[in-house]
Amino acid sequence: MDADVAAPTARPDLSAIPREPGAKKPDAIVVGDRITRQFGGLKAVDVDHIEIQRGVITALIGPNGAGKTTLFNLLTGFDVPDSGDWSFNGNSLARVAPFKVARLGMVRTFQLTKVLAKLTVIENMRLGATGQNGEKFWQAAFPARWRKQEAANTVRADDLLTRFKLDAKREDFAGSLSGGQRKLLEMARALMVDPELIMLDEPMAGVNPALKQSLLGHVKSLRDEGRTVLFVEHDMDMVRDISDWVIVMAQGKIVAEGTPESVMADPAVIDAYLGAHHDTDLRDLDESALEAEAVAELGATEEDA
Amino acid sequence: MVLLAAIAYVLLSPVSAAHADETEPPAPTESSSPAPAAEPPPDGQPYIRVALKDAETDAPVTGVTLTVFDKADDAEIGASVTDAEGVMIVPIPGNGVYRVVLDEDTLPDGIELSSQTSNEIEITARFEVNPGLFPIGVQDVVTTPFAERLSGSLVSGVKFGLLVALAALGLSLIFGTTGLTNFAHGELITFGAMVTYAVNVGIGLPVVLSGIVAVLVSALFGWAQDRGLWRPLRKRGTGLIAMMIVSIGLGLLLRNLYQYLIGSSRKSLSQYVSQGRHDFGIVKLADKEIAIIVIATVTIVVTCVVLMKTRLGKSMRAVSDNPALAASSGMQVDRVISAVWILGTALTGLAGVLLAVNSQINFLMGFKLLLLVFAAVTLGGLGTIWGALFGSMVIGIMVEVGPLFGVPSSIKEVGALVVLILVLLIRPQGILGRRERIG
Amino acid sequence: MSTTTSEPTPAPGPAVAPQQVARTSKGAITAMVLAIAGLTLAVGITSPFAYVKARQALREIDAAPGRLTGRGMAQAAQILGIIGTLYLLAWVVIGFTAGIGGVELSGVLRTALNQAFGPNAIVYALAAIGLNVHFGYTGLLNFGQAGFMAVGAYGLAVSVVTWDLPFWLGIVVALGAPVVLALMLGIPTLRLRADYLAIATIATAEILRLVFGAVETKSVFGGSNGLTGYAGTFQDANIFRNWDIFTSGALGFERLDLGIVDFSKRDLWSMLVGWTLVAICCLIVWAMMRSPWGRVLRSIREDEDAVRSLGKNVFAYKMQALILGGLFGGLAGLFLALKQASVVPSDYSTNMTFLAFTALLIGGAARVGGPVIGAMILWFLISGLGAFFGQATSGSDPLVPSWLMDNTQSSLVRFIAVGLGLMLLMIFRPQGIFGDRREIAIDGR
Repeated sequence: MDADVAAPTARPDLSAIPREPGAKKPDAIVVGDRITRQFGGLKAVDVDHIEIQRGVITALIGPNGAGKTTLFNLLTGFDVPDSGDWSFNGNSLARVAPFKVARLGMVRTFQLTKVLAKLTVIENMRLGATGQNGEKFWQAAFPARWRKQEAANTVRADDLLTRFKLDAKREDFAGSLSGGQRKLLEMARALMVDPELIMLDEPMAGVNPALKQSLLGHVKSLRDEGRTVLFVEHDMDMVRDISDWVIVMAQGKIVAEGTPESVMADPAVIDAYLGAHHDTDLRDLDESALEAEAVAELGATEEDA
Repeated sequence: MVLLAAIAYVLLSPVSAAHADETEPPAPTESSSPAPAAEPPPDGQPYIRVALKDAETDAPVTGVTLTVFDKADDAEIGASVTDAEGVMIVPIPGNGVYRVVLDEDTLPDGIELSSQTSNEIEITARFEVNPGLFPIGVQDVVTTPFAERLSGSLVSGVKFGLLVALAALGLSLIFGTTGLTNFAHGELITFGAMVTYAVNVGIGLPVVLSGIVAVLVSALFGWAQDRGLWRPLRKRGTGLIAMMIVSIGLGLLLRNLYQYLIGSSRKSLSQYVSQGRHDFGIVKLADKEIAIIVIATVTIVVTCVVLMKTRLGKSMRAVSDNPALAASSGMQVDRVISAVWILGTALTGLAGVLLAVNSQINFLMGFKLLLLVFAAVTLGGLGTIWGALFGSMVIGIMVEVGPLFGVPSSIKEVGALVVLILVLLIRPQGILGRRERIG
Repeated sequence: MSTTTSEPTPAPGPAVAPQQVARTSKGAITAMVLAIAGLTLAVGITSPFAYVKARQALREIDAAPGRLTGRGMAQAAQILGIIGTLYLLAWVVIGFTAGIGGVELSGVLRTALNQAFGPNAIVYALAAIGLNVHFGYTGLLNFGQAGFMAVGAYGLAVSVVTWDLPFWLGIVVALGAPVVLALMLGIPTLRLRADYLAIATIATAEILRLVFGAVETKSVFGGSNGLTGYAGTFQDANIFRNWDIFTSGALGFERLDLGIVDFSKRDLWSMLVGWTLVAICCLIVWAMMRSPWGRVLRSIREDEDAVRSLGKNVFAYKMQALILGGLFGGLAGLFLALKQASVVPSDYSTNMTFLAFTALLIGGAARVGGPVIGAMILWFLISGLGAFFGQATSGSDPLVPSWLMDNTQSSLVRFIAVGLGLMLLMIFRPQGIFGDRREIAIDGR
C-alpha cells in the first residue's frame, strides 16, 4: 500500500510528552475533563483529564473493571456521564447523541461485535456509508435519486472487503461469519463512515491467532492512512506491538501514561494489575467494579430488542 | 353517607290493550321532573316493567332513563323514563333474554349507583307475571360534604388499588424472573373469579371455601402453564417478543373460552351480593369490603416478607437479577421459575376471587383490568416489587378519586392511563425504577 | 428482493463439530406421525402435509448420506400421505355435493371466500401493512394500531358530521390525524425499550376508544352509537350504480353472482377502492423497503446501537416508520368508516389490533405481500369457521349436540381457534407463510 512509505515520517514525535496521567499532548484530537460516571455507589469512571494524540495509535489498558468500556461509551455518547466535559476536534461532545458523534468523525466498534447478522456482508458495508440520499424518507422511493451513489458506495465497500479479505463472503449473511471475521467486518464497516478517530473495543478478543496478525496489520494501516486509533485491549503483545502511546486505567482513574516500554516498566501499572489479584481489599472493590462494567455493557446490549 | 339501597322490581306481564310505543327515548331529564305516568301497552304485547325505588325510604326514583336491549343481538328494543312512581315500561317483541341498562347520567342529582352494582341487569322474559327482584344500590351523595366524599373515594381507591396490587405483584414477579410481558395476565384474574363462581354456584360450596379452592386451582393453573407452555418455549430458545405474542394468543383463547362457558352476562355469587354498609364515622364499609381490604393487605405483606426473608424469595430475586449467574451458582432456575408462576398466578387468582366477591363475574373482567395492571407496574418501575405495589395504589386511588376532580366517571380509567403515558414521558424508568433498567 | 445464498446459512453461534453419529431424520418421524393421523383421526386433513414433509425429509436424507437414517419411513409416509390426501378429497367431494350432517359445505365455502375477498379483509390488510412497517421491518411493537385506525375513521366522521366540513377536507383530516398521533406517541416512547412502546401504544388506543365512546363527549363523537351520515360522497361515487349486471338477492338487495362468490353493489365498489388502496400501499412499502432507507430500518430492527455508531439518527428513522405505518393504519380506519358508513367506538378495540397482528403473522412479517395474504386467510378462516359452526348448531337436529354447543357459543369457536392458531403459529412457524425465519424480529429482544 502506498501509505507505507509516507507514514513513518508523518508520525508525530511523542518522546517529549511527560509520562504522567493526563499528560498534555502536542496535537490532541480528544480532550476530556472531570468525566465521572457512577453505578449505584461505585464510581466506574472518574477521569480528571485525558488527551488523545492525533495520528497515532493509543492503547487504553487496565485490569477488568477499570472502566475502559464505560469511558468508551461515555466518549461516544452511548452512556451519559454524571459530570464532565470533553471535546473532539474542539467541538464539545457532552450530551451529544451517539449518531452525531459518529458523524463528526469519531466512530467506535463494540466489544461484543454488533454486525447485523440478518443482513448480508455487503449490505452491512453499504449501511456504513454516510450522507446517502437513499436513506432520506422523501427520496427513498425514487431509485433515480440514489442509484449512482449506491453504486459508488458499493465500489468503496468492495475495496474495503478485499482489503480485509472478506470479499469471498460478500453475499453471505453476516450472522454466518466467525468471531474474527465479524471483528473485521465491523472494522471495515466503521471505515465506510470515513472516521478521523476510530475507537476499537477489544479488537482481538475471540479472534483466532491466525487472523490476529492480519488484524494487527489492518490497525496499523489505519494509522498509516492518517487516522487516529484508540483501542481497548487486554492482549499485551498487541499493545506492545502496535501502540504508540498507552493510557492505563484502574478503578475508573487514569493511573499511568507513556510509551509501551515505559508503561510496562511502571510500578504503578504493575500494582494496578497485580493488586487486583493479591490484595484482598482491592479484589473486593474490583469485583463490584467488574459488576458495574458488566451492568454498563448490559445496558448497551439491552437495546438489541 | 347513608346507604339507600334502592330496589327495582321488574314485572313482566301480558296485558291486553293495543298500543306500542317504541319511539325515541325521551330526552334525559335534568333532575326529578317525572315523565308522564307509565302505562302498559294495551294489546297483549309483553313488556318489561322496572320500578326504581329507594329501599330505605321507599321513595320512587324518578326521571331515570332505562334502555332495553335484546341480549342476543344487542339491538335496542326501546327506552323509557321512570315516572312519578319510579316506574318505567317498555314493550318487548316476545320471549327472550333482555338487558336493561340504566343511564347513570339521568339519575337525579345527588344519587348515584353504588360501586358494587352494575348499571345493567338481565331479565329473562317468560309469559307469566315474573316479579324478578334485584337490587340496584343507589347511594345518596348530595348531603355529604366534599371531605367525606373524598374519604369515601379514597377508601374505595385503596380497596381497588389493593386488588390491582395483587395482580400487579403476580405480573411483576413473572416479568422479573422470565422477562415475559404476559398479555394473558388479565385472563388469570378472570380465572380466579370463574373458578370461584363454578365452585360456589355449580357445586354449591360457600363463597369463602370456593375462594380458597379458586386460589389453589389458580396456583395449579400457573404451574401447569409454566410446565406445559412456557418452559418448553424457553427450552426452544423462543424469543421474548415471540412469547409475548404467544401470550396474546393465549389471552384471546381463554377470553373466548370463558365466554363460551359462562356467556357474556354478569354473574353473581350466592352470598354477600349486596351487603349493607356500616358507618365508621368518616367512611362507610360493608363487611365484605373490610374483608377484602384485610385479606389483600395481609397477603401482600406476607408475600413481601417471603420475598425478602426466605431462601425461596432470595433465589427468586437472584434469578430475576441475572438468570445465567444464578444458574451457574448452582441454583435450579427452572424450579425457581415454577415457584414464581405458582405464587404469581395464586396472587392474581386471589385478585379475581376478591373482585368476584366485591362485584360480579364477567368473562372480560380481567381483560378490562389488564391495562390498569400494566399501568401500575410500569408506573412503579417494570420488574420491581415495591414499584408494583406503589404503582397499584396510585392507579387505584387515581381511578376512584379522579371523578371528584372532573374526570368523567364513565371513563374514569382514562385518567390512570393518561398518567401512565405522562410518566413514560417524564420518567420512563418508573417512579421507583433505576435509570439503568431502561437500557 | 435481496438475493440470498444458495445454501441456508447456519445459525450464528459457536461452531459445532459435525455430528458423527447417524440419527433418524426428525422430518421422517414427523411425516409418519402426520400420515398416520391423517388416516385415523384427522379425516385426511394432515395427509397433504405428511406428503410434503416426507418429500422434504427424503431430500434432507439424500443430501446428508450417512448422517440421517429413516429413508424407508419417509417413503412409507409419502405413500400413506398420498392415500390420505385422496381420502380427504373424497370427503370434500362428498361434503360439497351432499353436505355433512345438515351442514352445506358449499355454503360455508361461499361465505368464507366472500369474506376473504370482501371489504373486511381489506380493512385488516391495510392495518396489517402498517404493522408490517412497524413490527416486520423496524421491530417496533405497536399494539395500538386500533388507535391509529380510530383517529383515521373519526377524523373523517367528525370533520363532516360535527364540524360540517366538506368530504374531501374530511379525508385530509383523516390522513393527518394518524400522523399527529404518531408524533405524539413517538416522541415519548421511541427512545424506550420495545415493551414500553407496546404498553404505551395499547394504552393510547384504549384511551382514544374510551374517549370517543364516552357520554361526556357525545356531542362531538356521538357516544357509543358513533357517527353516521358522512359517507354519502363515497357511496354516490359508486361506478357500479347503473351497471346492469346484478340479480336480485334474497333480501331484495341486488348482488353480483359470480358462482362461488357474490357481492352487493356497495361491496363491489368498496372492494374496487379498497383493493386499489391495498395495491398502492404495497407498492409504497415495496419501493421504500428495497431502498437504503429500508435497509436502515431493517438494521434498526436488529441492533439499534450498531446503526447509531454509524452516524444514523435512529430516533428519526423510527419516527418515520411509525408515521408511515400509522398512516396505513389510519387508512384502514378511514376505509372501514367509508365501507360501513358508520363509525362505532367498539370497533376500535384492542382485539382489532391483535387480529391485525395475527393477519400479519399468518402471511409473514417483513414481506410485502405477507399482510395481504394473511388478512385474506384470516378472514377466510374466521368466516368459514363461523359459518360452519353456525350451521352445525342450528336446525332441529344439529350436527353438534346442543348440550355441547349452542348457537351463541358457536360464534365463539372461531375466536378460540384464532387464539390457539396464533399460539401455534408463533411457536412452530413464526415466519408465517412467506416470511424468512432468519429475517424477522421475533427472535430478538
